[in-house]
Amino acid sequence: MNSLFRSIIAGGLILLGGTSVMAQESSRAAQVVSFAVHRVDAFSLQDRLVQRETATNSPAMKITVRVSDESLKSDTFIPAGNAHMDLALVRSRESDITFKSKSLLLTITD
Amino acid sequence: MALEFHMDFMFITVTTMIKRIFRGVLFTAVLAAGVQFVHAQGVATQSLTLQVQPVTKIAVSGNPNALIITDAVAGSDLTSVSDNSTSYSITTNTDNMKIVASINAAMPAGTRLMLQLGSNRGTSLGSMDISNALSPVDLVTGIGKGSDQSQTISYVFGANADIPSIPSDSRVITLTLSN
Repeated sequence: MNSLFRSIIAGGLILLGGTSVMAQESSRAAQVVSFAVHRVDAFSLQDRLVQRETATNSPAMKITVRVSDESLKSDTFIPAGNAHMDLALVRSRESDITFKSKSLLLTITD
Repeated sequence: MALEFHMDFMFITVTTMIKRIFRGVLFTAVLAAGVQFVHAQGVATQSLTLQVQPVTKIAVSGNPNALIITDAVAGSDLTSVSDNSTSYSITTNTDNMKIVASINAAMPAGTRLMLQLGSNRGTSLGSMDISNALSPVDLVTGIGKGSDQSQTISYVFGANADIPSIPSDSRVITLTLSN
């Protein structure tokens, strides 16, 4: 009698275990996302040099402005994360420089 | 006296044996008759028990391409990059399921990892920030019974302008379909 009872209990436990394995109410899937941030330097001119904008994630950058006649030159250091700056020397000659003339060359270097 | 007792005991034993033999013969006869009857009719029956358990499955097509920021628009944050190259599929026979996402470690400060899942069977909550989703964040809710195959997984990786360069790193994003 005891043996029969134990068998019934064991069978019941096996059934319960099987049920918990089969009843899937959640499921998971994983992805590995790789990422990196490279050094980024950007500089642009807008609206006839009224405003010059920069974006850089480097510690310190130097902006060199050259014009075709070599009459205008400026070296300026800007701190990291400075998104806006004015080049006073260029702005002082704003009326003499036409943005669309292609005579202005701007480079950003360290 | 002793002899009488012995005789009585013998009589009882013999009677018991005869009864057992008779029962055995009777059982065998009934069994044989039953087998012959079934054989004669050519019929056999089985009892079949059927059941469908709750089933929930989600799978992804693989890992997305590396998200590498290499550019910026002057005066703005670093230009975000995105990846839509992977997809997920689900099957569930339970109503009102949802998909949540979690990340194994927070993203570096100043960066953002956004995740959006397409869905035909539920409501996509759009692009969700999972940069610090150590606890799961809902992405799709109200998913009904059925299957949804090859739905787009969209990642967007963004960074502030003052974030220095970050060498290649990775995170594990876990999508869970549950109720």
